[in-house]
Amino acid sequence: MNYRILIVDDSPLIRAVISRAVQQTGVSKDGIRQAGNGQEALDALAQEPADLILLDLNMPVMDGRAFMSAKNEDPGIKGIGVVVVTAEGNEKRLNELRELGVHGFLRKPFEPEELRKLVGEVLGG
Amino acid sequence: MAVLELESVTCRIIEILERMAFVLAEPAEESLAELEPEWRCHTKINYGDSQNGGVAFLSATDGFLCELSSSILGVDPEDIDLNEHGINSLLELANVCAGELVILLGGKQDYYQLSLPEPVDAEVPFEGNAGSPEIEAVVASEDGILRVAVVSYRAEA
Repeated sequence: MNYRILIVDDSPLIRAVISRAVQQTGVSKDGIRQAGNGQEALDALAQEPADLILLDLNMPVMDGRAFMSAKNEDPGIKGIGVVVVTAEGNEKRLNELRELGVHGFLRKPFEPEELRKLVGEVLGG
Repeated sequence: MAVLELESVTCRIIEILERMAFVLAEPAEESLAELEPEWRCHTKINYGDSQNGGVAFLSATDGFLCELSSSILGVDPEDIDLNEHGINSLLELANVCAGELVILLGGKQDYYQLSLPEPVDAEVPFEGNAGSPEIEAVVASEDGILRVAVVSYRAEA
């Protein structure tokens, strides 16, 4: 599949785990890019858009919430689907993110099959 | 804010390890004094605010970090660089453990901010000014030991 996925997480370890799980959905390795925080993600999207963003919340420089606000200000990338992958489980904060346009949530620790299923739903839906 | 209990914290840590990395662990049968673990590295993460919250400190041995990292990355243990993968694994484990701690403390409704996990040089709770840990959970995996110590603080009523 020729989807373009952007993985945004400050942990290189988790980026590797997510990348591996995404490739198992059929997305090619060349279609996957990585960013270490929200600002790096905005920079990457300015160069080339994506079909789906997998976003951590708790990151240095620019966290996931600030990234969502910035993304929504840019008509060129506002419509890109976002799945938040986070250790946080607070309902109020997750609802705030839903209002900012997040399409789905995956709570860490997750099993690769959960990620594959969610990615498939968002890309296919 | 609820009070943390050793049994529930230990149980959550064991569940996290199994779910995050298929690492099977159980409560250590011996005390730390008996185990005398040689820690490879330590991390800490803060949760809460200036009034209510705490700090979780994680320490792990080489064997535990190698097992955790190789499972997460899906590579052979001999391909693990503990100086790189080991600390990254422990930082991520701190993040996930703190996410569970705040659920234990406040459920899904009360919100406690998490800091970024960071490496620390030593077992901070035992160095004097941070006080004794409220919880000290020690679990043993097949190849090593993990310790999670939590120091809480609360505003006076």
